[in-house]
Amino acid sequence: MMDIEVTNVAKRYGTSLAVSDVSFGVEQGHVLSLLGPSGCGKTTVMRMIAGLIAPSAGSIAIKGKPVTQIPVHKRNVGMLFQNYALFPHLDVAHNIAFGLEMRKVPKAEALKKAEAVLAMVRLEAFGARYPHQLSGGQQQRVALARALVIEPSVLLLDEPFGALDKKLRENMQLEMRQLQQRLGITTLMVTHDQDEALTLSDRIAVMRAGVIEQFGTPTEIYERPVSRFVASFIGTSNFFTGRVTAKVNGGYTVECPDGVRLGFNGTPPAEASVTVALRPEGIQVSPDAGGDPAPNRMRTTVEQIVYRGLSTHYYLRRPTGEPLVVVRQNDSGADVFAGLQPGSAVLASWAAERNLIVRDDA
Amino acid sequence: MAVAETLPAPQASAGRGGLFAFGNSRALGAVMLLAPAVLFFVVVFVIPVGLMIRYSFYQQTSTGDLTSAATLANYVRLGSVDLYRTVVMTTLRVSLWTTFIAMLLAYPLALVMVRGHPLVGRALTVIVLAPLLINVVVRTYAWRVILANGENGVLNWTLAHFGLGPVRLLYTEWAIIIGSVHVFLPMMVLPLSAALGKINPAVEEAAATLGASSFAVFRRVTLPLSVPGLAVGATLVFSLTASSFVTPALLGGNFAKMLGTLVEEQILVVFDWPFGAAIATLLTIIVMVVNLASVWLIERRFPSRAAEAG
Repeated sequence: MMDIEVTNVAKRYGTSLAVSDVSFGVEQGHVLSLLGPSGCGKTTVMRMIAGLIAPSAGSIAIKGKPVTQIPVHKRNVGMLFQNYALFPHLDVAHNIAFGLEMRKVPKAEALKKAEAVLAMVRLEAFGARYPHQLSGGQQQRVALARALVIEPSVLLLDEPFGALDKKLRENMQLEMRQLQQRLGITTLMVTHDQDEALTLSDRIAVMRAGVIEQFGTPTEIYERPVSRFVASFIGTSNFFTGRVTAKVNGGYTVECPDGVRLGFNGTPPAEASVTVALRPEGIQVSPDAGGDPAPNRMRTTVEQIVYRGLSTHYYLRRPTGEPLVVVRQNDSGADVFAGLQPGSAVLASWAAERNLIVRDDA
Repeated sequence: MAVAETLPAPQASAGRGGLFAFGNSRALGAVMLLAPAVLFFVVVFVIPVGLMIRYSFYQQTSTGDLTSAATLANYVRLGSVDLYRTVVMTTLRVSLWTTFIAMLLAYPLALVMVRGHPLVGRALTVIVLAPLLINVVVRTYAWRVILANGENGVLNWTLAHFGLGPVRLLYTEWAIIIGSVHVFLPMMVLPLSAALGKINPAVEEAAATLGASSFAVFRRVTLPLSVPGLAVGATLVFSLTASSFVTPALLGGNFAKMLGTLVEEQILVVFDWPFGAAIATLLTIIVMVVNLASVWLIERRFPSRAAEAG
């Protein structure tokens, strides 16, 4: 069953279209991330689901009930705002009890329930504090408690971890995921952070310029990007454009203008000209031994080496001057990489299945 | 020098750091920065007010001399004569009504100024500030023309056209209230719109997602968060109305007297400076008590926000 269903929703501001004809669903108990750069319309979609703005077209249903005409305060959604939006004039306990009081729960009972939810987010002793007396992480937990205490139909998270520093952000992400799974609450998250989306989501909808570019599991999005935009926004990719030329046994070849040849398995696409994405971690580097220019091999020069702890990034330059990025996990001992330095000539090579044909929409 | 003695000893503050660790040079800098304003206030405010208070404890003899012995006679007279008690009550009543009406008018205005289209907001700011650009006497005479009793008043003339009226407004407390609201409205609107502008719209949205109707959002979130601005505005309008002179003199005349007009009468007409000083002292006390009470109320209600300084 779909807990959130968005059908052909659009939002127009004057003559500009912020969101155009967006449709998707969030399954019960799932986390769906709307991922995209700022201005792509992801926040607008979330605000329309919350009821904070009205769609220009289309319909929205929560738990099977159409809500397009229902005002925000009757939708029973729990929303976590970007900067938490706690009530500065109320202490933590009253912040949390607010939603219950609006539901006519007697004050004493509401405060008692608030205490229980505070325990859930491990802030038992903080009921009497005011928001400004809390750290960012604590404020976020209070905001989460406030959103959950009303037992919302769905949980909406608007860039929830943007204001936290890296370490705290990772902890809060794990904590949030555990809590979400324990409660089994259907969640929609808006983020521009690909790591966050990959870490927390069951499904990701990548948005660009008001439309959903790709919808799928994190694995699908990362390993099978459909477009040049998705391939470069989630992770990084090297791109090639070329023409489908030779069909070889069980595969085909794409030839680029600079002579690089890319070998593929399977049946060739219908188009004659294609764009190919190649993830940097799929490329091997070896000493340049010369030899035949085979498919999926390329002679390059090392331009820059950046050590990043867990991995090392090699910025290589192709003979034509175009860059090629290679990422290698720092998990093995001495190997060919050890002697590399800027100026070294190296051979880059990769397996045929690393070549991904994507839609060129840049 | 007294100021130097109140400074923390340098060795005590040196290791502490933070907000209260004034180094010697920082404290000196603070004193230097404050000095011009402090000096100015001592000369034009503290000394004259001191003199005024001292005068209020003297009495004038029948020959026009001042008695040298301090006495509470002026204050006893202020409290015991019906006429003066009436004037005190009129002053309080007019000031409170003016403050209350200004609040009612200012709130929707400030909301539109802050939340509405920026162009509308700017236009409204100009309109609200406009009364301050016109000389107070000119402006008040205009109100006399509008509010005049009989068929010559613009208001009554208009009412008569619709078969209504006439109303008697000039030389009543309501004339003073109308005139005062007009002048002092900006003093209410500006701090209020500043306070409303500081409210994060997401906080109101959060309340809505939690089940609060528009009215509940206003009552439980917007209104309480705007109280600091409302209090500043109320203090300003109350103080200015209570101590005003031109408006009550021209619109209230002899029939609706306020403390300001009474002081002028005692000083310039009756030449009883000690009694005039006593009235002025009482006026100062009333205004001060209202100021302190409102600061105390804000501090108590919003300790966190005051500490945060916005």
